[in-house]
Amino acid sequence: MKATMGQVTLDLLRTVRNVRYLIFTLGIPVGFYLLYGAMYGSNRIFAHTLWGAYFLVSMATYGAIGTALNVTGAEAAQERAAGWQRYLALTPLTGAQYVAAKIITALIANLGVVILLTLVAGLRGVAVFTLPVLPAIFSVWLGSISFAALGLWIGQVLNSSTASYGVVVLYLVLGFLGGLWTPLSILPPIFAHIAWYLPSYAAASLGWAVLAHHSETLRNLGVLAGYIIVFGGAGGLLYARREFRRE
Amino acid sequence: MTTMAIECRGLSKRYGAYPALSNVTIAIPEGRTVAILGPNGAGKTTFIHLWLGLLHPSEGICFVLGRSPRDAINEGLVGAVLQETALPSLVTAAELLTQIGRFYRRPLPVKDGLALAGISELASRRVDRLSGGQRRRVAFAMALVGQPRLLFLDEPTESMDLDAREAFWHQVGVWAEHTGRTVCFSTHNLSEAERYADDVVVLSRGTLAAFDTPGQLTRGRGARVRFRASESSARALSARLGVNVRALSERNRFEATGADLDALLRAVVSDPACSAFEPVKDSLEDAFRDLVGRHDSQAEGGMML
Repeated sequence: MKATMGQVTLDLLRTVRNVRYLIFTLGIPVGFYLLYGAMYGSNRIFAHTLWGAYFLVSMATYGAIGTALNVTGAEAAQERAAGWQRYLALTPLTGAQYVAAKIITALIANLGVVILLTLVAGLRGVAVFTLPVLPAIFSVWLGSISFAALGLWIGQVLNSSTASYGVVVLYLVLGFLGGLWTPLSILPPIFAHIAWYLPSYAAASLGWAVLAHHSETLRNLGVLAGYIIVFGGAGGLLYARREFRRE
Repeated sequence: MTTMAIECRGLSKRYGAYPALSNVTIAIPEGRTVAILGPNGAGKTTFIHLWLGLLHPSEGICFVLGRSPRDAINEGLVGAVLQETALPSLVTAAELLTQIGRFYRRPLPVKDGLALAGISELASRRVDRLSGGQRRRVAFAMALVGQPRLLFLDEPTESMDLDAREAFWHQVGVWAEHTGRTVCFSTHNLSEAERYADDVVVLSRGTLAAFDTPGQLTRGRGARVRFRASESSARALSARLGVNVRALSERNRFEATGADLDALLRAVVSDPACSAFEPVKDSLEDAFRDLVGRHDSQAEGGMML
């Protein structure tokens, strides 16, 4: 545990000083939230809840995806390319501890966007403490473990130059197709079919379901668990495969 | 019984059909400073990565401090400075060492780690803003922070100037003074091996060519005289004196080896077919060339007169 927390602290120190974290995890989601709130009005009813609460869940999810891709994924790809993971392989930090550290770091980093958005929403007049906003956003936060798993895998398969473009494309694609920018209900039905398989939609709709007191929670949990098992497992195995060929 | 820092038995590694390392058996006792030498492609990196647990052997077995390499790493007994260790960005040297220390059971206080690596003044500097030499020192401090019993340094002083090299080896010496601490380093700089290593491991073509002290390796190779002659004259000289004469890479240049330098020199000089004489002083470099060269000629069935 001590070793894991060492890696977590190291990663957190780097995350809060990372411009990509400030832009993709905090800046863009909060900016979008303010923009869409101003455009549609926070207190308009949407999907059986207030738009200000609905879009809070969307943007918290989006921020968490920003962390997974631009911090967890891009950083891990760079670390791998630069030989840092090879160094770690020569320390007592095990592969499992490395994987755990990356996920814990992402969860703590995501607290940043969760808290910031909740404050902004409160300041804009959304009743964040009386509506089920807190449990909704908590579900999203837990669901973001699946993004971290995806980010971990990306960090192990992409090289550092493809990672920097790949993650931005994924950031946009997962956001749009997951219905985080524009609710799926106002898009052509084909988008809803795609969204069903995306972790961005699964995590956000956990939150939306809490807000609206209904819905496909089990299915969403299944999708999220699938991402955690497949990508977390693959990422962890790739990391643990210590036969680095050289010479 | 002395614990062996590194013990390998019949260690081999093949990449496909290519044998990178063949049947290496060696036991390096604890408390020594050991240089690992070999030309490029001799299997040095493969050998090192095998006992660092970064590679699995195709055959054979190796132990580090009486354990599997993986266990030795997991118990924090090994510290390593690899050549291409890139440090994470956006953290200071002290932050980095503090957190890495938490990977280990009994970490060195960060202050001591920085002091041992001679970089106390860099504690609060961001590691991504340091010079190459300073970053190398940070990597050295990272290797020491877990208080390892075996320290591995991969071409540690490459790209250091002479003063920096001296200072670095002084610091390694201070660290290694502690009883039982073993230092292994790879280098292409033979004078460095001669100066700082207790033992030298020479690898050539994937096999162990020698494992001895630098003194033993350079000594006892007999007196040698180099000279210019035609091949037939050299052959005749060899037959007449009953000494070993071998061709050097330079055309028409040979080296005679005998027991006594004075006698050998007199005999060679008095032969009118020979010219451009040069008595050879033993150095590790010559010993190394011999070892590696002999290996090469054996492997190729090359010319030995």
